[in-house]
Amino acid sequence: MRAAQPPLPLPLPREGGGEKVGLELDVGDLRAGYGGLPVLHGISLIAPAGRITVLVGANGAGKTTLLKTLAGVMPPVSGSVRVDGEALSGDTPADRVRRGMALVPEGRHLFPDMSVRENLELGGYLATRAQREEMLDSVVGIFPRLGERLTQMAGTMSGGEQQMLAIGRALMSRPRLLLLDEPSLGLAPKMVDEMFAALRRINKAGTTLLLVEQNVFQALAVADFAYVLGHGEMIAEGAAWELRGNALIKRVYLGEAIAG
Amino acid sequence: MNFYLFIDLVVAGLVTGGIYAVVALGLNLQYGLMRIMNIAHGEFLMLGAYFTYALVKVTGASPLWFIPPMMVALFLLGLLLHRLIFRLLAATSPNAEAMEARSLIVGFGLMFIAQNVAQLIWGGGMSGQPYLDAPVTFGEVTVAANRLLVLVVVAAASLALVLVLKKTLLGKAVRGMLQAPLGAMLVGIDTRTLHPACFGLGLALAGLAGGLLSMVYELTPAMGEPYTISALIVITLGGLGNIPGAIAGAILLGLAETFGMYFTSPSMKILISYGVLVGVLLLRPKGLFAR
Ligand SMILES: Nc1ncnc2c1ncn2[C@@H]1O[C@H](COP(=O)(O)OP(=O)(O)O)[C@@H](O)[C@H]1O
Ligand SMILES: [Mg+2]
Repeated sequence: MRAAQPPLPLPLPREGGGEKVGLELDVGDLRAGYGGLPVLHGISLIAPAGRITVLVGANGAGKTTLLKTLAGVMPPVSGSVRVDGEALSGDTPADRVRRGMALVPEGRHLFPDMSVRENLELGGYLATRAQREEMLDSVVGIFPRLGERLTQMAGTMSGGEQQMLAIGRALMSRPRLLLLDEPSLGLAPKMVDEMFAALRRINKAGTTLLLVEQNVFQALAVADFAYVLGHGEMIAEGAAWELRGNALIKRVYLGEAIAG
Repeated sequence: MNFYLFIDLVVAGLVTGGIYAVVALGLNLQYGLMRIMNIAHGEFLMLGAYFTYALVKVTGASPLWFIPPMMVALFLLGLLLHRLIFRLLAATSPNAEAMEARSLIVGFGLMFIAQNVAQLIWGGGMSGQPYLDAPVTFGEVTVAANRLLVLVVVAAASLALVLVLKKTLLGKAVRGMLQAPLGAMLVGIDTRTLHPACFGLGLALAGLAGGLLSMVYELTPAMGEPYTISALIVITLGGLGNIPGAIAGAILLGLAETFGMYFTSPSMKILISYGVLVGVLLLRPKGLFAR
């Protein structure tokens, strides 16, 4: 049996509210991989409550694998995942959603032949009907464009709009810890700015964010803390402002940019 | 063509199409959700038909009484088969292709077992005992009552399923699993309970078709096979995972077969089905309703 959870508070809008909303995520020596092929060789990181923590790293470093393991999509080989100091109980994605975690996955994985409204409704699949309606209003408040297109099929929207919908769908479960896997991938620069602004607002309302990004400098600009993942191992960590000047990051990412 | 003959053929085509729709809906969920290529799907139709008919013979009561409990029994059989076989296959298959291939082989096994069990219990030739075959007259049009009943029940069942999938949160969850399995997992949809339930629902729907057919046609242990083929054609016509598309495809196929067989010969049935399939795919390679 799981211990009784306090009811999940509405994360939005909650500027200046006294109650703590965000969860702290504490990952210890996590190992995971695919069918015996190890990808994560003992990852430790902390995403402090109510803050934005960014995780950067080259392609294939294991960022997506880490987030999928945290979301319960794939089982870890060993290691611990704690939320507010408490080990996670249950191992399915639904258990994680109930605990207040949500993942905006790489590639979005929206329901393309369903309307924007249906996508959002399913985002609140585990919530009550009243909570779903309340959250739908909040989400439309952050992404007014979704509100204008509630009846449009998700698959017919632009990439940027789909990304907004993917974030909105994750918010529908009222997460206190939101994991995002490269949300700016493939978006036009204006959309990227809009999305980072939305992430800032979501975080301002109290939700903890763990953000995986290739858009390193923009991500470091909004983040409080940052981690750099090498091949399955953390190679740097610190305050985001420190890492912005970090020679390693500059070399890795400017090098990547030139090579890629 | 004379008007009454035309109406006759339309009714016959709709009856066949409606049965195809109910059979195909279940297979569509099984294949679309779990990549189970259940080649034994028609055998559950056959079991439903025999089950209903055997009880009618013993009790003398109307087959309609036995269809609901038979559907429940097949649903439970579906849960059991999923638990014993397909869950293991899903857990050990490295990818969707392997799952399809392995479930196909399992399906052949189930098909042989089901057909031989039926043969053993009921023997080869159990002639159907038509129920309600008195004609009903609307003005000058005459239709057998049992065909009308079949038509009403399959239409109601298909409509109910479409409405559940379209309007309820649970139905939307099933469509969500069809359209984006990872997305569905991430919002907390529990595939561990919904997958077996949908598999069982598929068996129950095949059983419904069988129970209805037992009022109209003769039963044989191999009677289900052509329905599996038709269901696969219907799914291809309508688009994988597309439920309204499958219903439209089923009606199209039922009408085309009925009219085609009337104007050529009943032995042309399979040729006509494949003709419809090839024709539609030439015009619309991704199915009738591809965007
Ligand atoms: N489904 C999979 N099966 C096997 N290996 C995988 C799979 N997904 C990713 N990998 C491997 O795991 C490593 C890390 O991938 P990933 O977590 O996607 O990295 P990132 O998100 O940092 O680009 C890569 O070497 C990749 O090839
Ligand atoms: Mg990735």
